Amino acid sequence: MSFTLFATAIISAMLINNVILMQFLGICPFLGVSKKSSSAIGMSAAVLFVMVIASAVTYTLYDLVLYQYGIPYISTIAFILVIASLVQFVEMFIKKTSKSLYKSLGIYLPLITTNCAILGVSEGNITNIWTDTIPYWDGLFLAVSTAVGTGLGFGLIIFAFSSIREKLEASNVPSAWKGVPISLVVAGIMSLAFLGLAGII
Amino acid sequence: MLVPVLVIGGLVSLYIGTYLLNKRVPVPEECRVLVDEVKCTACHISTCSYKK
Repeated sequence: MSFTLFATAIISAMLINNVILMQFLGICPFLGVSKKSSSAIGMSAAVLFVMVIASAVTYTLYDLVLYQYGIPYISTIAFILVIASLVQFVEMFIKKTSKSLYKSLGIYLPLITTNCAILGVSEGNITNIWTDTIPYWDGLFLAVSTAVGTGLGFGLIIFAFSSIREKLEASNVPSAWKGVPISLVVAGIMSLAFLGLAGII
Repeated sequence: MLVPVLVIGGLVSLYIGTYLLNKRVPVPEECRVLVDEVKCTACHISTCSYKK
């Protein structure tokens, strides 16, 4: 696997096929945890962390178990259970090993169980990367690269959006537009801006 | 028919196991206030008497 492939997978997942603005996944934390930049950073770090591990585990499960035994149709329910278990495990591990990390990520971890972006990336890895001819390690590398790019893209957008929302709090917005309406307008404009990046790779 | 049932059963057991293990591990003392605060600001039940 070359560095070019790794960089292409990351840039493509981060900017061109951005999980929030292009695929419309993870909208719930995008709107719910973007009021403060500090919360947005914590949520982004937790999503990136779980997304990378979940992608590696679900790709492996699909390649080595579900496909081998001819049961790929249960992939969605299997991935949901894997992600939910993984979140519980990661939370327990962080609680035991790093109090500072738990302080910054811990409260966001349970929210990730219901974050459709994680499931979307896991399913996307199977749909877009996995084939029965691709070697396991190559596919795993691409899946993890895509997960890193998607997680970074999620972080970039949620942080930019939270910064704009903080500015909007202090701005003179018409009363009918305050809060969610102006936030949705901003999200729409951001989505249009990212549409301009389509086709750069 | 047996294999999918076993796989799903195994994953459900894995989830229950990790959930119970996670519940047993106590939240670090310095983070407890933070967790309580989040629980209180997230639920929006105006009649809640937890903090009173």
